[in-house]
Amino acid sequence: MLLPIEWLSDFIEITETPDRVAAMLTMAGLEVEAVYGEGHDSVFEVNITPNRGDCLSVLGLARDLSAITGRTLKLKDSYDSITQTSEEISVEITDTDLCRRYSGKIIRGVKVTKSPDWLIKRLEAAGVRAINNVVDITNYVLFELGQPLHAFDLYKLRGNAIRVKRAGGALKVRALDGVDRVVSGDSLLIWDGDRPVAIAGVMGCEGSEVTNETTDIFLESAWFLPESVRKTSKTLGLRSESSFRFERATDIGGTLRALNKAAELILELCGGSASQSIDVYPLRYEPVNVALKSKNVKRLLGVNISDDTIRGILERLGFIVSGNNGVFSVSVPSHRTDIELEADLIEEIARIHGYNNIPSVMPRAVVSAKVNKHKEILLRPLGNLLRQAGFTETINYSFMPLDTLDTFLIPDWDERRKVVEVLNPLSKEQSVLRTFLLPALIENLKLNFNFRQNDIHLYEAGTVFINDGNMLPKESFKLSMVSYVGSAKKLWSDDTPIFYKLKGIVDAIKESLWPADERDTEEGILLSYELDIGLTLSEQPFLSATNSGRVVIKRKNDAIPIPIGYIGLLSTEVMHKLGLKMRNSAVGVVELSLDEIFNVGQLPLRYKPFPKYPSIVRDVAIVVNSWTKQEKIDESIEAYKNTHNIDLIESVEIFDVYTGKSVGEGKKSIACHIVYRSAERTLVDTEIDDLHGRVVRFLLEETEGTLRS
Amino acid sequence: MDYLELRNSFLSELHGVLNTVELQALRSKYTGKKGVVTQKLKAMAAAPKEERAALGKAVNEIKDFIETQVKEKETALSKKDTRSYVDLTLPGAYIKPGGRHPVKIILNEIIDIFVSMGFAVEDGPEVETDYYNFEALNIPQNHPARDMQDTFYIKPQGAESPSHSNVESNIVLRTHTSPVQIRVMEKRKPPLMFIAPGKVYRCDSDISHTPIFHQVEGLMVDEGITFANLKAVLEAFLHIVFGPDVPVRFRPSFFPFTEPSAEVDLCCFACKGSGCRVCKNSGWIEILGAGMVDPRVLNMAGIDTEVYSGFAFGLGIERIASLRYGIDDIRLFYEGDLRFLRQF
Ligand SMILES: [Zn+2]
Repeated sequence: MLLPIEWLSDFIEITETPDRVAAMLTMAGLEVEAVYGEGHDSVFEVNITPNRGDCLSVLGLARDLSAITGRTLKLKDSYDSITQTSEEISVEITDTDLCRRYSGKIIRGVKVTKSPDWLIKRLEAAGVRAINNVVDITNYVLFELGQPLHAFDLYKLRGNAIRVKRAGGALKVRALDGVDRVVSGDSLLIWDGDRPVAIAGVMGCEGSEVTNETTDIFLESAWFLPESVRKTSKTLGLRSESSFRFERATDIGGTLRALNKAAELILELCGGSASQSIDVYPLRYEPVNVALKSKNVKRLLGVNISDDTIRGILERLGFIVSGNNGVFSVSVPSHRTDIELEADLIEEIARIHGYNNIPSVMPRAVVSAKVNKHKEILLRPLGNLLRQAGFTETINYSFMPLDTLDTFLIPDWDERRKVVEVLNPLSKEQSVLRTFLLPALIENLKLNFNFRQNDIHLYEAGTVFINDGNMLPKESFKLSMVSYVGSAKKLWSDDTPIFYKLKGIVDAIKESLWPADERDTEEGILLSYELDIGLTLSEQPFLSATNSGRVVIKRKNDAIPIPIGYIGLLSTEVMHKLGLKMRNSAVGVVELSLDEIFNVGQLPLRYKPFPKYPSIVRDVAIVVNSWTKQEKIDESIEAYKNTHNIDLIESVEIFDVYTGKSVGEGKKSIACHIVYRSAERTLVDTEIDDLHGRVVRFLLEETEGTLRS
Repeated sequence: MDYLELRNSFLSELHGVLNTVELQALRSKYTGKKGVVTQKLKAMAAAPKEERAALGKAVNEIKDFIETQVKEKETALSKKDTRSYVDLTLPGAYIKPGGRHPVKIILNEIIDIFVSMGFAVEDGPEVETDYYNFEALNIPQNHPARDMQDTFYIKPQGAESPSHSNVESNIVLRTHTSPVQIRVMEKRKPPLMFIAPGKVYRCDSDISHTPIFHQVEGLMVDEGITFANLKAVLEAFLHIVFGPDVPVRFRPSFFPFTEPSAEVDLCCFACKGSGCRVCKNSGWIEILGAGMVDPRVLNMAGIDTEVYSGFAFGLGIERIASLRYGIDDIRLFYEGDLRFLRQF
């Protein structure tokens, strides 16, 4: 809110510079965000937090400044006689739950005209446009005292009556801004004898307002329930200086003060004569008494503040303090209904005493040991590995457009179709929560491709959301990668196909998490790949049927492998749909479930002695059918070891796979090293020559292969 | 030129020779057709007769000396390596490491600082109920405090009717990491000290707001925890992140779930407090919100406020990352642009 500093000095003596006053307010929780102008003409922009409705006025800020400086608040009220009934107008509150007090006054014989310059100047400094003297005075009092007032043209009020009651049912009203709105049955309205004349606390209705022809007015000064005003104003999308204040609770004890201040100004500036104040106040404000112990002030703040200081601060803020020796009962004034508990009072004491005057003291913590299994911590080694492999980390929004599912050919039965919908998305592109990470990474890829990046390797670890019918959706933590290598020639070439590069990274993840050979651990973790070709489609409809597979984990006790993700190249169809225009280049993608991976945790490691005796290595190259898998060689060697009871074969390692004219159509050559070693002795060449010959013959039989010449 | 000088200059040049090509060049510089020594020999003809013999002897001596030295060097060089010379200015073949996301750098840095102080690290769901996100944090329906956070509402799951308005849905994308406070307090009893990092959502998007950002929430509840403790812990944290000398100030503010509440400001590092564009002329930069946990919140979570007290704080990671790296458009964090991400 805008606060002209010279207005402030109506209520409190100000000796400091505007900058100093601004600093004092800021450090008491009334943040001055900007100071406009200089000296006497300075205007503060004060950011009032939602709990301090009482400070949305010059009076309220002056009261806090009085508590800060210790200077007296200059507030003198003049009250006239009060009546509950009037012959000229009858006022009745029907819904006393929403309106606890309704005060009013009739002023006859006013002359509606332009306001004097001093009033216009103050209003304009506070950011309000002048309209006419009567309306300006109601606004003036709103800014000065925080009490919204409303002026009706008395002649336009039918039946000499004011009724405060709910709309009862949906009702069309035209507010002063000329717009027709439908208010709900629960909204509180001000009625005259037969129609609504104002939306209570929000805005007056057309047809009852003060115009230049008005001579007699009825002034309203009421207290409406904050929640009710807020609901109505929010539903109607109609906010005003009045509704803003009512929402934040106005001072129920201040309606007459405002009414009289306004009447005083109207008589002075517009002429006329005023009636008695009408005051309908069925349930009077009962001050809450909050118990306060000074030992609790110390217990919560960690600093000793004397009883005198505590009492002084609270009294200057308008509280009535009784009791002594550190035990007080504090009566809460009607302008501070935000104060309900001892802690609320302690905050008042702390902010006026000054946070700067509270020391910094390290807590004496109870020490306990714990293992932090937060996903960000578990992710660290994987992130390091991926970045060393050239992948850059991205973070994308958790939203996706619904049509993404069609673009990626996700079938109807797929879990990824069970989307969680956002009711108020910022755009159609963000209408549902993402069920997989890949689409956003593909967008990242496109963006970077359009900026002519040649090598694009990205990963993201993030949450995906599946609507599983429970109250809250199923949230899973996933890792996704995309990889694209442009066709530009490079200084040091590396021709490894992108699929195998990606597979290498997944292998490395496994290796880094579970370094021991799976066969030697108790848990026996096995991360492997299954190529799921089917007839035309791979398991993931957006992947190439020939260049894809799923990644599975199988622990010793698992009956079947658990799928944890997929790896593959995007199909050309989907690349086309996505508008990916990389000619002759493939886009490799991976998605893994980090929940499943973290769930395995660490496996127990045990040292295994390594061999003492040297090995003998023999190579063999065999020509097999092109569909034969490398795995077949491993299986055959394993089979040979078992059937022939041979323990001299240590390992088999593929070092070349070749297809080409020299091996024939539909064939490929696989070359491998076979390592022979004994745990007990040094092997002799001739012995191994013999064994190797038998192994090779077995291998050829098993794989239906021939020796490569 | 004096012969001694000639000899010395040859030796020092010879010392710098690395290969046979350079050696041959040096040799011809001294003893080649147009070499320094050959020139001397030619100049001898102009010398007086009686000096010629002595001169000739000296020149021949130096010529022999040079030839011997060149031979020795040649032998020494040949014992080295026969491989061709590398070009040290060509780039090496390596996998260029990928960039780390700046938000994650700061996030992990903050985790480490609090872990070093003994805080645990907790997690909670990103889609939350109205209860955990608002009610249990003392933010009731129809309270103006709800305006402090623009909320994304989620269509209740399983509901078929498309007519759900925002007002009716009690499922939201969490607007802060504070719900984790409640979830942990419901499960465990004090002493509690933990942080909860994670994504949060606000229905807002411009140069300084993205609909998604990251927060770290912190909570410490035990007997005798005070506002003075809150100040000390947060000052220690900020001094690690922003340097030991940066002034920190605590200023009263309002959060529905803390009482007293504080906004914590850092002295503007751009202007050192005199006021500039970065700090909107205030000399201070808002860096985090904190306060003593409101007894209403502790009570709702079943913690006895007669015995226990505690503090909570929350800070935005993007804000710290922007200040640290001088990033003035927060949307850059979420575009996945390698030209940006590669810089970290
Ligand atoms: Zn600055």
